[in-house]
Amino acid sequence: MILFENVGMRYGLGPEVLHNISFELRAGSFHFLTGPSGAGKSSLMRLLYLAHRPSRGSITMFGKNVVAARRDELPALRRRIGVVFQDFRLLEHLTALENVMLPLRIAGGEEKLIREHAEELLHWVGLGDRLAARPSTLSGGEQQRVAIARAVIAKPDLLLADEPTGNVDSEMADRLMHLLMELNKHGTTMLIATHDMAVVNSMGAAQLHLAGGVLQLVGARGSGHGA
Amino acid sequence: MARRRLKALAAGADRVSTRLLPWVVAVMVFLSALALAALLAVHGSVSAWTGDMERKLTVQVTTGDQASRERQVSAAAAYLRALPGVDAVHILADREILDLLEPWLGAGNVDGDLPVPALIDVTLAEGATVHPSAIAARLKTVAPDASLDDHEQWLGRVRDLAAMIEGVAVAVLALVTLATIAIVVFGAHAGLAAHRATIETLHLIGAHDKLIAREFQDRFLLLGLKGGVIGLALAAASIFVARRIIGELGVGVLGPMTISMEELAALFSLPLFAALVTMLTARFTVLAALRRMV
Ligand SMILES: Nc1ncnc2c1ncn2[C@@H]1O[C@H](COP(=O)(O)OP(=O)(O)O)[C@@H](O)[C@H]1O
Ligand SMILES: [Mg+2]
Repeated sequence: MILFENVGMRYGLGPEVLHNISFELRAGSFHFLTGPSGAGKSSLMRLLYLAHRPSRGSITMFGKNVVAARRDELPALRRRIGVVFQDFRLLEHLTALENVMLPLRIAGGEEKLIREHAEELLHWVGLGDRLAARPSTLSGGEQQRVAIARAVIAKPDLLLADEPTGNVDSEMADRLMHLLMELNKHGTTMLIATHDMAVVNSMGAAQLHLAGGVLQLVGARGSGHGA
Repeated sequence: MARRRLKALAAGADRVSTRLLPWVVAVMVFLSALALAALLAVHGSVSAWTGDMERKLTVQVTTGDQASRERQVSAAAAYLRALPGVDAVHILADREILDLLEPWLGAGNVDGDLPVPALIDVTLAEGATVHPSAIAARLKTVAPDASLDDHEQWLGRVRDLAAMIEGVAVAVLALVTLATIAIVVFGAHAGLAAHRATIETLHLIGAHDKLIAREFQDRFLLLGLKGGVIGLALAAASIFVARRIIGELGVGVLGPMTISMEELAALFSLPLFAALVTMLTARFTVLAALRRMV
């Protein structure tokens, strides 16, 4: 479903931060993207959620060469990708519920159904009593769960989460991970960037490991496939 | 698909860049309305005057000899009455001539002894084609001291003046439109900068440029309408006062001081036009800027 071949990436005219990245993610797989801080995890995520174009190499997503995609083809591709951003990127003047509704509002649909669905999801992540709260009034863990609900509401084929356990205690981290596992069981392909090896070890899924912008595949014990 | 509204742009974020916009649009609409009112007033007055004058010839008989003058006047009048294309020939009485002079010399300063020429007022039939020079030549044979004025010189000057005033008014309208566009471009860029993070997020969760641009154009349409209505209200008040003052002065030369439905419609279309310009400018500015984003 996702195929990277010899991908390089740089910011503007700066140095290359990702070198010769090649890997494949099969549909329905679950991978962690690990590596120390500064290794390039977030940068690789930016390539995957189509916020950045690679400086070389080829990227195929959903059977489409996204490097050559026209700008007006990107929104349709992005709607197949759910993203939990490292900094959440919740819209501050919208309520938790409205934030979760946003992807479906963008895609278009009946407002009433969207609202029902968003409420359902917020209940599912344990925020059924915070529907009308503004993001700034929520704790880090609560914001994280709103971000997860927003990322999954449009039933994406691929879910990307950048350090989703970065701002929460280990108990909440566990709960969030189980949420993501559950989604994966329903068929969503998962890639979770984290430098938290405790989380990775407790889950036992396949890893893509980045160090200094170079990718290594680490033993797949779970459902993942590497190349 | 129904037109979607995300209401995803925080109203407060671009306050600094958009707070003054309605007032700028108000000033623009105010100036446009005054220019348009001037244009319409000049246009109306000029066509009222020239419409009358184009069908008028004036024959003047100047001689100090009263008997000769009266003889020449009746000979000229007889000749003119017989001409094809002449509707009416009116010999002005002395009193009428003095009345014409009064506005220039002041009431009470005109007495019956003032030597004035005899005047014959000729009204041509609608659509008549006459040749003033030929008439003037023939007139000399029946009344040697008669001269013909077809007002062409005066009409030409009035038309030139009117064309100039109209040109200035049209230039004002064009410049005001351009200035509005420039200000909205700045405002839209400032708004884009204020909402940059939100816009990037919307893009990344799958929003098309057009959907984002719609959020901006809605906002700018409202700002433009608000400004336009304020501007028109100010202009309407000014025009009303100006008309009152002109009416009280009794400056008849300005022609009929009424306003037609078409003129009213033109004035009322100004705020709508301003709002439309504001909206479309914002739309194209935003779309152009979004194309350079992720
Ligand atoms: N916006 C940016 N502009 C320039 N360099 C960046 C930017 N973001 C990250 N980098 C650089 O890219 C490298 C990888 O960073 P990042 O992808 O954030 O790593 P990680 O998420 O693994 O901590 C680092 O050297 C970082 O300094
Ligand atoms: Mg990172």
